[in-house]
Amino acid sequence: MTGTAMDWASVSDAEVVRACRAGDDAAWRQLVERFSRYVLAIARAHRLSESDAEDVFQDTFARIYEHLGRLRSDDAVRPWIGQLTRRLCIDRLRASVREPVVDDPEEQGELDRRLTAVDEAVSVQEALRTLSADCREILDRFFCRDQSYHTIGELLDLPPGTIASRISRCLAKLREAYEGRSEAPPASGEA
Amino acid sequence: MPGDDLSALPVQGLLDELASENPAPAGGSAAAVAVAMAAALVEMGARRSPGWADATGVAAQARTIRTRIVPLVQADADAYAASLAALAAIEDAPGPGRDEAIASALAGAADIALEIARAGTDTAFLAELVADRGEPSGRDDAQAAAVLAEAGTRVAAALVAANLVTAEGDDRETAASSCARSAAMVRGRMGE
Repeated sequence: MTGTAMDWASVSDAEVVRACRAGDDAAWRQLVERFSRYVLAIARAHRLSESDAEDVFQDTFARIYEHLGRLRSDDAVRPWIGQLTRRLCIDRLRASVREPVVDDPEEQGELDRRLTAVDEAVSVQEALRTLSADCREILDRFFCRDQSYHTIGELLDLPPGTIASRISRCLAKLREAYEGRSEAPPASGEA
Repeated sequence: MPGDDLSALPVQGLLDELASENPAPAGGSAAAVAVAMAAALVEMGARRSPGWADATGVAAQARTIRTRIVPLVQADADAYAASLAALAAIEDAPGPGRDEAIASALAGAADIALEIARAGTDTAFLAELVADRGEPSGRDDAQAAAVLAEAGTRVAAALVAANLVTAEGDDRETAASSCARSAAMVRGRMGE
């Protein structure tokens, strides 16, 4: 697999990992691009300062680069990166004299909820990537851009009365893809 | 009651605000509430139709429309109050560019009313789907949703026209009246 002229949108995480191991520079750029927001979102969920979050970001990708060969299941790259990032965040908080590590159960619960939300958002993004371009577009227009059925119908040359049913079918496909991904194998890497 | 959150009031409190001598909230806020209630009824109808493959998706869309429209209950009251204040200031100090100043004062209210009209039409389409494909026992509520959606859409479209009275040929007026026609057509297809 080479990185030139590659349509990365249709490439799975596991394939990106394999290409990284094979020394494909473009695959490394794709890996960073694909997981940057995830890593930063976890760091921010831990309420790290911007500079600490940036440090965690750098450390995380340095560790990924160093230890990717130890990842036992390529499909588990996301949970592995999530665990790694969380561990580095906690290390950063422990090292900080400004903010003690969270030990209040209520705060811990809030942190867990934020991390769960981050994981879910990333899983939805990943599931979205598996849908057809038509489905991605119609879901994006309705749920993200707040466009009406009439506006979507005009733009896509479809009767407005059919848009709701199309959205429902695309949502069903998204749910199927999301639930399939939710049953991915657990992280098994070491870092 | 500009500045507070009308959507957080109990029903009685909202009705008291609508009934008060204050000019806002008024018809636009009432239209937004009507469309929000319609969307809620659609969501209920979809949720009560477990055998319908599209039910979950329709419920999600109805909920999204409701989430979008609830803040417009307050936003319309704020925009209307701001328009009235701007108009009063213009009346007190007439001068060059008066028509443009009036048009600008009313434009914000027109934008919000158009959003309400669009949401109302979308809700009417969803109500029709629920009536046609959802559980038969939910058909009456789906029809009620279509009537409410149409009413809210027509009120909102009339407000768009009223707020753009000085802006002839504005696309927003055309869009709003198209929404009103679509909502009426859908409700008409569903029968009485």
